[in-house]
Amino acid sequence: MDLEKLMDKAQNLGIDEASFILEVREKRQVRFSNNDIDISKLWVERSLDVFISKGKKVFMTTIKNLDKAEELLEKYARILQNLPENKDFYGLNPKKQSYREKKIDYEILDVELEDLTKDVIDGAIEKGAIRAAGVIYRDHVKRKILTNYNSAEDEVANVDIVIRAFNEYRNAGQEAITTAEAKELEDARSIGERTGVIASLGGEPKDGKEGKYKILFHPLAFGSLISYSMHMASAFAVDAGMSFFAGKIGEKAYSEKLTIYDDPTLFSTGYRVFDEEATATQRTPIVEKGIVRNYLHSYSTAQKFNTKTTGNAGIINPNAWQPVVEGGNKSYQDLLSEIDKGLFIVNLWYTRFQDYRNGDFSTIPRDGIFYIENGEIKESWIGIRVTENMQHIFSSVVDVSKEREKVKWWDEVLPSYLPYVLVDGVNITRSKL
Amino acid sequence: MEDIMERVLNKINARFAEVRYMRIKMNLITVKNGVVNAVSTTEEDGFAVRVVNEGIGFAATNNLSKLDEIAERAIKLARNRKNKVEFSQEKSYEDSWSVEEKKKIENMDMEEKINYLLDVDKHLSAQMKLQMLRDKEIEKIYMNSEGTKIRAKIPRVEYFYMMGVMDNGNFEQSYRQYGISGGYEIFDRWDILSLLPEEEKALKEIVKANKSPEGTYDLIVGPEVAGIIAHESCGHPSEADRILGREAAQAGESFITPSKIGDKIGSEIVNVVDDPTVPNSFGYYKYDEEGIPARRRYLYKEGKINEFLHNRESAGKLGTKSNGAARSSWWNREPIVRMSTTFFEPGDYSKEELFEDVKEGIYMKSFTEWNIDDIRYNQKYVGREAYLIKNGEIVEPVRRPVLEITTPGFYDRIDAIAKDLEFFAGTCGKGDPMQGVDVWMGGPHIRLRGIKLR
Repeated sequence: MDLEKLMDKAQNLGIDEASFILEVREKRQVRFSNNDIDISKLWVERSLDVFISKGKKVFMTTIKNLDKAEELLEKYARILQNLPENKDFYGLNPKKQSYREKKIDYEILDVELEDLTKDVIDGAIEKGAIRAAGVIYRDHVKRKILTNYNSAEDEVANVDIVIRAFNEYRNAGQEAITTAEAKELEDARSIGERTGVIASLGGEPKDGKEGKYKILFHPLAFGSLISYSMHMASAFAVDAGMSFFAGKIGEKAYSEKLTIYDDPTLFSTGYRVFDEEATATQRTPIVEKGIVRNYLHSYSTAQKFNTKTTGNAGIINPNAWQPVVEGGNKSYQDLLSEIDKGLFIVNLWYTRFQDYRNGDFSTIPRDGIFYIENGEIKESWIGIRVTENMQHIFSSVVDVSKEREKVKWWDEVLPSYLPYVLVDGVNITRSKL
Repeated sequence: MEDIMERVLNKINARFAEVRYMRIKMNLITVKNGVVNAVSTTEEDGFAVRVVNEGIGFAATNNLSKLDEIAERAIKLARNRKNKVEFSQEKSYEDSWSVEEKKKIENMDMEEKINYLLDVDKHLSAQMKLQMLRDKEIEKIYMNSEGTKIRAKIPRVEYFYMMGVMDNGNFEQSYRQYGISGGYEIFDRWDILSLLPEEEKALKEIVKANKSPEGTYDLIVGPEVAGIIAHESCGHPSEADRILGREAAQAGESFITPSKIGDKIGSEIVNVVDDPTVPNSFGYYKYDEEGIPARRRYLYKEGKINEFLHNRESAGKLGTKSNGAARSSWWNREPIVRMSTTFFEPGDYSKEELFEDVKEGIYMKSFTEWNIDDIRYNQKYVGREAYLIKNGEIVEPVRRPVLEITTPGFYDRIDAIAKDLEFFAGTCGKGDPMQGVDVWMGGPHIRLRGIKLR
């Protein structure tokens, strides 16, 4: 598909600015449960993301039938003429960009998903699990972007492995790793083994107790909290009044142990060269040693906020590419040993907010909830809920581990690179009847 | 198109095969704080091929020239399983069905839609306002190797809002989704221009209200709360694929096991159904995505676990027949077990009778934050619009009552169900990759005795 030709056509149609992103994707998946493959899937897709504007009028769409792209562009140009102005739109990034080299490990495309599946299941069973379920993805995407001001190409590939293993009491362990490097998949069996160990550690779980606890969050669990928070770090959410980050730029709002970046320059699944208006992506501090530094911006939202783009377009609604939390100096075992009476939580799910503005939410631990006494696992728990405020969590970070993991999961966990995080005074509740 | 699909289907040598085509035209408008933020029009179509041999292979493309190639690859992918998968044996059907639009989507121009949203916005003074209007025209053709051939046309319209009000440092937010299978008669059914100012007024009272008292109270939940509870703690745990562990690493499993059919779950006045045939419901369908006729299913009947939701795969594993619960959200998604319209059946009481008999209680009319564990046993609902009841009368608004309760705990304490019935739209998430499907959920007002609230 000739994007230059399409841009010429757009200009002939009276469109002021345009961004076209051509994407060609081949994606594979294996899903498994009860130690066997349920389904193997393949997607072969192509699409063209279109953003067009005239003055402050904007229109966006995705064209899937590329053969009709020119014809559809004519139709969309007519729609554009009749739209009201979006006074929050300040144009596409006009500055000439220079880009990092694209980065792809082609060996990852040769990884056999069915072999990985067998390895992770075998690993879990060997370590004491009685059954395992999960999913393995391999994604290969070629992207090409053209705006009035810039053009670039990118190609990425990655593999996600999610495995959840159960013991005889239905106690579970889970790992959800993601990588762009084939060498990190050489010992896939160990991923399964880790879930088997966590599931087996659980024994027969006991009903958890309410109270305030010092909690060590596994990277997967903290990844859930960070991913939800990154949605609120978007300038769109801040502008809409739906963010607890609002009004906090420059403020020492959280624990100095907490540093959060959006880092698409880190070579992993969230690696990206350009955003949706062809701005070169960058490593952006969101929270640095507890101080709120930036929201996530496109050129347009940055203009409204009187700052610079962070290379996170979504032109209207900026988004994070790859959250990264800075590691610390201690091992996660050291952090565990700092808990006199507390919990180690492997995963969280079903995070919901009753108050986006202040950050009140609750979420449900799963896949390993361990009660810790004097740094040792005493028993596993079920049936508890984290009923908290996100700002309180961020303010109560005691320390972070030096070990970090690349995680990504089905329940709203963006591809992230995170340590184990120790948080004090976390409120735990449970059902009363 | 059917010729192409038949040609591809006939070339597949397998125990079972199906080809699905879907074409979707969609319009989306987002208005944030009075500004038209985004307008989008999308047209797309694509094919999915599913093959069953030892295992199941699934391949999808939106590139017609790749259709033969993906069919061949789906055949190869269907070899990957240790234990042979068995679909349930079903009759074959040939039919065409559609949903009538009283006010056709194609006749509603973009300007009119935008003006409607801006008009709604002008009626509101909340500090945070977000509206979204989406319409879809979906055409589907399904055919399988057993001779089933179903053609369908479904229009759907949905309206979503989120609103937040601030008062003296306090913030209260609300959101709600309205949706139908049909056209723009949606705004005749729900007069958004009246409903949202009422919601805003309620929020402005709630944000000033005292925190709901902690203790043991009688509880009356409104249809919106009844609906989410029916969906989360009856519909989801009754999905047979969860029960069998197929969703274990994603949306989770179920506290229900196959042997629990007939077990008591709560009060004998409780009946919860899932019914795709409710006219104009958001998740309406006449045939499911495997060509099985839709019907009403009693999931909990007279307080007992009664029936699971099945597609052909789960029914085959449990040695039964599909009850038409297979849905796929898009052309590139596999059909899995899903809900449609899940609701408590109405009872015999008037709404007033429910309140008359409450000495001290809480009325939770609507909800905000909620969640439930992955076996659908421990759940939480936080009231959005809620009131204190004393001696049968609503006394004052209260802020954010919290109900944290188990599934049997909730259903067991139900002692009266009103005659009214109201539905609310939602987008239910499940599957991997995620499949958001359009659903309704609802019920009447329901009274529970002796509930611990905080």
